Amino acid sequence: MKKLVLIVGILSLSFGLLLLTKHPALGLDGPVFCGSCHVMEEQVETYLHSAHRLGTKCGDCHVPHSLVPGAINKAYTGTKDFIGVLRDKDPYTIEVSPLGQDIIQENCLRCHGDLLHVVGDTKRDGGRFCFDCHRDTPHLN
Amino acid sequence: MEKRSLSGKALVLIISLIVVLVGSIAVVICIFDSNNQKLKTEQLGQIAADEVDPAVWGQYYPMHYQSYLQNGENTEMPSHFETKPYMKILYAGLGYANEFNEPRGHVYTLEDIRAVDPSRYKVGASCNTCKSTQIPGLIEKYGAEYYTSSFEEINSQLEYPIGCLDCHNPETMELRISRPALIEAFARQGKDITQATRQEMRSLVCAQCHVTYYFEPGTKKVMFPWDKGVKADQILEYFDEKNFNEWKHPDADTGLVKARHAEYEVFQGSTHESAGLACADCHMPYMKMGNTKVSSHYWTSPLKNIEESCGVCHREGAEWLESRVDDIQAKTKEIQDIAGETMVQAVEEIAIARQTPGVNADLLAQAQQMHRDGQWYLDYVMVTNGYGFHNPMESMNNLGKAIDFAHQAIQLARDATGGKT
Repeated sequence: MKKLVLIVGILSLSFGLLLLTKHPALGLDGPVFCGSCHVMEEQVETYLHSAHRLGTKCGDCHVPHSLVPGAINKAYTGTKDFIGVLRDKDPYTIEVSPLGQDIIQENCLRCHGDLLHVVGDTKRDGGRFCFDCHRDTPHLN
Repeated sequence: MEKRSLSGKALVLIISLIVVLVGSIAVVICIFDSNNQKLKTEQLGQIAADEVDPAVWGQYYPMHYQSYLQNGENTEMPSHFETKPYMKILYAGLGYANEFNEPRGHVYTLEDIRAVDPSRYKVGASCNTCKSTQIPGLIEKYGAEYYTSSFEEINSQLEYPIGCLDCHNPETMELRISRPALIEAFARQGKDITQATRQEMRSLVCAQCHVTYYFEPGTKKVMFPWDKGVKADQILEYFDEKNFNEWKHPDADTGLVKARHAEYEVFQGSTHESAGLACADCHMPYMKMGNTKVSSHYWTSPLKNIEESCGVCHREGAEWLESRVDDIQAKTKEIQDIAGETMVQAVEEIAIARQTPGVNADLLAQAQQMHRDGQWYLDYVMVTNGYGFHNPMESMNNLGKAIDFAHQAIQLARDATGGKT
């Protein structure tokens, strides 16, 4: 009996952890899953009209890249948004949080770092975020 | 025994726990789903399933409708013969040789087809297939008889040009295929068009009309000659196998096939298509309207909105981008002109050979075969909008073949006369 509980427990935990990864086969990181919350429709639509749709998924910009911080962040924001809709208290105007801004900035540099090797992190020494100037990338606001 | 009854109790406990857990998850999901449904972008009301009038759709989607009405700005309709005089000679024997103007775009389809030279109406009702939102309804009403009706019988019933219903499902606004020819062409290739992704649909709705087609002899049905593939050589092979000639050139007596605006076919395999783009990515850019952005429904050259169309990916600036496009188009036009003029020479040489007494019939037939092949390759590029830009490398490739076929036709025609002229 104990053995059964243990096995089921381990399996559920592994499954839960698996969901937190950005494994493409799960599809939990892209526009179809993120857009299944209808409040995200505009974000998905604008993304689909952008060049970033050709090479990135939502999570590539909005979730930290490394596994542990990525999984923790995904679990935290995912649960927060889920509870938001559940309580019918979701934001109708979606704006990126201060934490989210840092994550996006880090991800800009993760892919475009080569281009920026001379400039470095635009945020350094009281600088601006990449998207302070590139307002329309990729959500065309 | 005691041990067994204890484990039985535990089992009951576990089962009840699972039931409670599953129950609460179900309740949570239900609440989530009902709240989530409320967040859907609000629809103002339901458009009728067969609403053919774009103005009615416009009441629900005023910004999209406003950009659709912009199609009215496209008022130029120059004759193709002004810039491509060789067309007139190559199309001899067809209505196209009498008059062939560039059409003014989607909102003028009915006005423009009613103004063309009447010699082009003799083909029948099928010509109306891409001119009005009412056509799918009429095809449903008349069945196979639609295609065999006279041009006037169908045309006199048409009131609205190309519009919303041609590409959109009025209930969900999702893209839809309304023309049977495309669905059937996919089916004959063993492909199910209902399985197309959203991105594929953003090209396929255009492919309902912006493709080459022919009217099936007998039934007069609109058919896409794609059974072997959509490229120039594959389509020619399809026609050859069917022994199909659309018309005979009166001077050269060559059995010819006619290409039509093969934008979709040419685009397949191009740099932009391989990168994952669809027609709508360049031709329906996201445009700022008031405080929001909508996909432009003004279907025209992307050069009119370079920033919005090309700028999504290319950051080099409008001026540089336009110079690149101009360069590709000018070079394609230059080679196309050479191909066109050489093809005219081929027609002339074959005509001379035909009138020469004692001509070698075998060599003459070979010359005509070269004329047929060459004119097809030329036509596939020549009548496709964009002067090669939809696929520059392939267009140049086809023009190169056309020039070679034309020269072979000229040589064979001269050989056929045996130097008697």
